[in-house]
Amino acid sequence: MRNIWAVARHSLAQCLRMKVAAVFIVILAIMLVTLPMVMQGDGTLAGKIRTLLAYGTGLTAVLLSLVTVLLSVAVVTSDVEAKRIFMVATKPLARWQYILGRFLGVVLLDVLLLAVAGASIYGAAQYLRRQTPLNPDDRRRVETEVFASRGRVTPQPVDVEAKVQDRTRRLQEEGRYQQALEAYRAKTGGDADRAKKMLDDQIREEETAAAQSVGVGGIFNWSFKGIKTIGQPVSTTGKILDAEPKYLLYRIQAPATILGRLVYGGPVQINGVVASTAQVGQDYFEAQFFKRDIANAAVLSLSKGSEVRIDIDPTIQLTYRASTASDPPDKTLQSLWQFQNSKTGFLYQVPRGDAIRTNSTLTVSARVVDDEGRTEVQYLNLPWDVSGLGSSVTILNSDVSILFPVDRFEWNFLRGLLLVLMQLIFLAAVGVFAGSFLSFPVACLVSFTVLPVALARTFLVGAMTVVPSASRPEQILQVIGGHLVSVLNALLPDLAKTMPSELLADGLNIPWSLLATAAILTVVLRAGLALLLACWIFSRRELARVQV
Amino acid sequence: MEHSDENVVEVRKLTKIFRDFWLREKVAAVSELDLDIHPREVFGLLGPNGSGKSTTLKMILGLLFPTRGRVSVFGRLPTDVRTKSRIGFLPEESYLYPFLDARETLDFYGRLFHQDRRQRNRRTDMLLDMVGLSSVAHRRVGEYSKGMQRRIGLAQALINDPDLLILDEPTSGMDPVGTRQFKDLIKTLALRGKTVILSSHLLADVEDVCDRVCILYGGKQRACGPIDTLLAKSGLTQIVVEQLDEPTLAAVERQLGSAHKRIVEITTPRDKLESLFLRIVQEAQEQRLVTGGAAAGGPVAQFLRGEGDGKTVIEELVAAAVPEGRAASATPVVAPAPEPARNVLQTLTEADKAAPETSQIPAPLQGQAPKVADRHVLDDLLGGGGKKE
Repeated sequence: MRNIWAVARHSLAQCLRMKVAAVFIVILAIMLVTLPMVMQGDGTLAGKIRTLLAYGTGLTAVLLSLVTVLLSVAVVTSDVEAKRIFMVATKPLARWQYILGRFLGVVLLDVLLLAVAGASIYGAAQYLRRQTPLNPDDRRRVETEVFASRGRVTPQPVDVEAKVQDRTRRLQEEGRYQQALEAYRAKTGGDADRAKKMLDDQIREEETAAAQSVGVGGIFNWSFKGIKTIGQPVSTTGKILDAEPKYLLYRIQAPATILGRLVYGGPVQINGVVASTAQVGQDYFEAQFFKRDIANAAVLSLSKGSEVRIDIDPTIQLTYRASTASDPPDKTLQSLWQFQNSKTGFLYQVPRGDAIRTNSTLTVSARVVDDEGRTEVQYLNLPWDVSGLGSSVTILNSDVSILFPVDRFEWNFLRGLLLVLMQLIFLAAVGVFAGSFLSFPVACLVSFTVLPVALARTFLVGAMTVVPSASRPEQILQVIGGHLVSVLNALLPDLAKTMPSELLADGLNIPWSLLATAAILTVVLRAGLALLLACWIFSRRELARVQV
Repeated sequence: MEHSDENVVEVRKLTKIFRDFWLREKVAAVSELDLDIHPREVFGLLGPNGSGKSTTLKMILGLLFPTRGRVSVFGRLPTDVRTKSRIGFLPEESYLYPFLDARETLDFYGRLFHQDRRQRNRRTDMLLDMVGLSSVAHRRVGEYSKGMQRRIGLAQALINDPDLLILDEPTSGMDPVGTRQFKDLIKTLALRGKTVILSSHLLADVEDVCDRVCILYGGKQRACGPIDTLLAKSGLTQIVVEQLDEPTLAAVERQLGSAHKRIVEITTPRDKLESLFLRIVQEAQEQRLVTGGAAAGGPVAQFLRGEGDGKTVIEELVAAAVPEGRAASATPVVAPAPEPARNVLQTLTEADKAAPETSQIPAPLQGQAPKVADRHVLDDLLGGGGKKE
């Protein structure tokens, strides 16, 4: 272990003195300063911060991946090529200790640079958070959709089995089922079983699509479950700026983090008394008490300039994206939403006008969720205007989800960086492996090929499930290609799946389970195998042998 | 050669064939080589360029693997960590990390021997002092001249006080002061019971320090044996006296004639260039002239001497009483021999006897007499090795 550590420290010093860290930090600084300026996004503060998080972490991952591959290859091959390995390999250290030390040194550098990059991105995001948002909704998005770590559930799948059987029976009665089967049979070259499966799949697909569309006046029913944590209530203190006791209306100054969590018309507690949010401004909100509290001592004591305690309910969010058969004139879709807690009967209705084919977010009090984490949601497709004209609306099950805070943004960000680190650990292992028996340019070529292939793994595997070709030579090629992809599939981790950029930008929680999966599949199995091979090869290599 | 557990290095039927990419045999760098290196001997591996010296050393070090045959070092495989902890190695060139300074370089290698911080610092200080790099210890070794890199290379080979020191072309690129000091170091280490293997084609160096040599040509062993045996010129006796005038010379000739002997050669002994160079440098150092390069070496590091005081080479040079009147004719670095084992006259007259074991010599460091160089034999052997075929 002491040997590995000595080599690791030495490698770290080597990388730092090669000015790798300095150049990386300069590039990162330029990137962080220019990114928010160049990419305005939709002009909102939330958009800017999302861009920063997505591109900041994404670019960091790409830059560090390049640095890792180059350095992990270089630290091993340069020693062999410059014959410095003669002096090191003749010291009492096993070859595998040398390899592990080199690997660990590069990983240490990665940890260092990732920490610098992470701190810079986090600092820049916090700086932007303090800027003035475009409007109160922008502030709400910043606080609840960007600086968030949200869990996500999609609705229970629509049960289309009954409809599929019904449709199949009708087709059979009309004799069209047999016709369609013949047509599919011709397509598959006479394979009856495959033809039947394809036809049944087609019917199921059409029925599923039909279940995800409604006409004007039609209703979607979704039931969600598994809304695990409803978040902790938020407390803070504010100051009364203005008071109109006659209307029970109070204008209260509050910090941005609170303002971003207030829902128009939603509940807010002032000094323990429930009120309704009447308005949200840049640095204040207006709370209106209910009439029943007109003689409440706690309300009566409120006056301009007094300090108050503010408690807000936890909230959940629903995002959806709708498409229409024909577009409304203003591209805006009118709808009425209803959330219900079937246990308490708590009901919340809200009319919406949301842009079509765009993700829209509704923020709702968490009271609509029952104690088992369930809520019932209804969507009413309203006509465009008083004329009653409208269009059928399609909302796919995968396009509607309920989001709920489960963790702090900071911890989520840290998990995101850990995911990047795991990718880097894998690449460092690959680089050291390639460097253990190849010369610098060849090892670089091999390692740099691994990176895009691992990123495009899902695509590659998906592309392989094609219809078998009729010609014999092509079939052979397909079999070889299929095996090749399976081997790649086994050797390379799915790096696209563990890229945290999008999750971080969307304020979505990176679950520990994803981290654990990546740790096992990417680090322990794949990186471990690469290192094992590297140690094995290096121990059997004639180091004084000139390699071309 | 018979098997012996006591041999430090045993090489049996060692063959190394380099193959190309298609596994076709290209070169037989070493073939059927047998070597035994005994404890406490200074062993020289000689041969012209491409004779397989380096290849042999690299197989002894585990940097190359034999095609056939066997190498064992301290009774184990060369790649065994326990073996490597007792070896010090100086490659034919110093392959150093250019971004480290001298101190960091030694510290890194010290770490690989599991030395604690105190020991590393102590040894680093002593070694830097010894190789004369203390004043430039904080410069990156990438900026060093070749000779200075050579010195730091030597220092790293000694950081673990090795039982077996393997030196590939040790004095190449070193200035005469460094070379002289290096030879003294080898002798010191040999006296302490260390084993040294060195390969070189600088015959003077080999001749000065080696007990036994093996001469390779074309990967095969051409001659092997104690150096004194190989160099002894039978049938001649050399007498060095104060300068003689003509009548005295005539008288000596008459005297020898009565014993039926004739004078083969009469010459005025010349100073060795090495001695002259060393004397000039020493004078400059005594005048404290400034140099930007490596300073004169310091004392052999205490841990390498076993134990003893920390006098510098200069101090020892001054202290080593150079006899009056001999200063011009003898090397100033080397004091007259107080012991007879290596006495030239005796060696020459007793040439038929086996050379004594160096390790048993209780002589002080600089206490050996200069051997009268007669390089013809070695040169003949080296040059003639090829012609014989």
